[in-house]
Amino acid sequence: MSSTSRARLGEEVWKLRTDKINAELVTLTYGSVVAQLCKDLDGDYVEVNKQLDKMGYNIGLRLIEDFLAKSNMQQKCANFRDTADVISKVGFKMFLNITPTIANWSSDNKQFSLLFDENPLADFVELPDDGKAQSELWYSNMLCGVIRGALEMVQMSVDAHFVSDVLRGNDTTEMRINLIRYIEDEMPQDDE
Amino acid sequence: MPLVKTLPLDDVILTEDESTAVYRYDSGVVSFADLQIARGERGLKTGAVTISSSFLSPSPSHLSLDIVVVFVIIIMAGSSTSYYFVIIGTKDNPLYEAEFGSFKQGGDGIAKFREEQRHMNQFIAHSSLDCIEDQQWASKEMYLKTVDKFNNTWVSCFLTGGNIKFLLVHDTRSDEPIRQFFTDVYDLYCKTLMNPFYEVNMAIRSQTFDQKIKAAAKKYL
Amino acid sequence: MNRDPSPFRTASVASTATSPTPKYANLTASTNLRYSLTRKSIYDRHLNRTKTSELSKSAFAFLFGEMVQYAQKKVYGVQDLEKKLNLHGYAVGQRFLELLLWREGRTAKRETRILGILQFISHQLYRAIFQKQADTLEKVRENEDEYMISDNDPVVNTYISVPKEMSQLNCGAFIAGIIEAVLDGHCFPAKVTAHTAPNEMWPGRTVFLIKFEPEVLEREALRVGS
Repeated sequence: MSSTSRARLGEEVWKLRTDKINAELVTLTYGSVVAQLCKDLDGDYVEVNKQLDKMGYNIGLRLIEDFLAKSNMQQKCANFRDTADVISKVGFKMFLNITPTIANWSSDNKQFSLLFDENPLADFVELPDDGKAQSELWYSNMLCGVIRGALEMVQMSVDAHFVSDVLRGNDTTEMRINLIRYIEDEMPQDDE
Repeated sequence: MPLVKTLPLDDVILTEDESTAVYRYDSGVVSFADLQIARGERGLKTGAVTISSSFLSPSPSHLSLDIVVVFVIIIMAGSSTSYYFVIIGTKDNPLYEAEFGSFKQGGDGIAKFREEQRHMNQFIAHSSLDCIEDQQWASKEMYLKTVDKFNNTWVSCFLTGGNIKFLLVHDTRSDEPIRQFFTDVYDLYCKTLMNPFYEVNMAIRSQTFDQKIKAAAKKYL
Repeated sequence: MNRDPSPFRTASVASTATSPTPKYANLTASTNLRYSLTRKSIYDRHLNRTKTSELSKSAFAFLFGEMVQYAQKKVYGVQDLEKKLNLHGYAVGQRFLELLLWREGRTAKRETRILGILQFISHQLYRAIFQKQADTLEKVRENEDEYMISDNDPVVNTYISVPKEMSQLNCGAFIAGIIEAVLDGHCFPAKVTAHTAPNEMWPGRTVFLIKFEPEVLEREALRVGS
């Protein structure tokens, strides 16, 4: 499947097969979750990041089914580059209506970056001015967990983490994803 | 039964440009916190008594009044346009304040009395809250225009949907420019609130917010 | 007390023995925040930019489900969990209230009567957040201080699988929180709770019971006829 047809598929799923909801509701709900975490964990932003990642991971495990059902993708991705394309043009498109740019491939094609010029989760957000948040908190870290969990369910073990974020004063919001290995063993079937 | 409090006039202080005179009560200027406590405790309106220029001849040796606290302010004609702006939260707590106009550029005399002026403005703003409480149920408007008047000073108010009050203490009336100013402030306040890390009733300390407010003041006031 | 012929004299300001009123002492603006060159501050962004933006409902459902899961670990029992959901909804409601009124511009009005604010909630607020009006708005006959807003298919119930131990959980507590925030913020303090009230057509139908504080009714009574 070519890149353009993936883009078209993403558009189609978004337009025709996705129930939609007010984006600001999601933005504010996510904001409430992060703010609550920061309170619960006493401003330990490193822990907050971990928690967001964990929550994202749990989501990813279930989200993949929704993705496969709606996108109706028959074929497995031939290689990791295809996977990246699908994540960006179909995955992010059908859930968040954005298509982050794929960039910075490593020479072995096992690592790439997603550049977000739009991030609905971070709309209206300004990190606390406490001298710590901007150097420690990855506000959208849940997304990393989602990718990790979703890919694990399709036999890929990856690491996903942010390397820059405009909320931290950087020029871009960039997530780095690297393939650790393909999972050879069969995953146990989900009970649901 | 009316409360009677006798107040020896210890001290009179006049600013150099003779625009303001402050009578001290007891040993110091009554602090804003004191006014609030008094107000809360007795449930009475704190009031300010104004004495017109007739006080010049012979000043009363003491004042008997049936209000709890007296903080006497005389503002004479001739003070240039100046504004005191404060955002007040739902618990009558100030969230942000700023001064515009010629307050800061005043002559030496005024500068010396910054604290008193500020207390005065805070007092005027705060005591208008009672008026606002009455007026807000009589009108569906968010911009309440002038809600209180005190000698030559007016207090204008904008009430947000969440009961946050923007108060402007000013000495020249200009309804429309003030409304435009408040509209800009509301935009800035909403942006502050949309941030999940900002909670209602928190103080607003963002420098960018401060700059934008001052820019709005410069633009309209 | 004798006065000097010229009762006025200038004097130097006494050092502020009564220091600046405590509440005002900490209002100075400051910042250590870095701003991205490419992204301006939140104050430069237009508030209407995402007015009509949409995301997928399932994105919300997944987020909401995980929010419930996380909250569940920190509570003892369904009521506590509903309180947490209410708090999240409350934060959301406070923001939508101001945002919606700002968006109405010069024609924005504050509601001053109970019916007014309830209609605002069931029509404008509901439409803005959930793209539909609430299904009914009723007064509870038996109690002066109670009203009900119903939603046949609240979005928080879509796809959400409630953990087994919490089968009585009503995720509508989140929406109840939104409503409560709008009422509290607009000076109509109330308690809002969500109750499942299914009917033949709508198994997920939820009723939000609004119980106003006494002062609201007192004020309303004073205003009758005006």
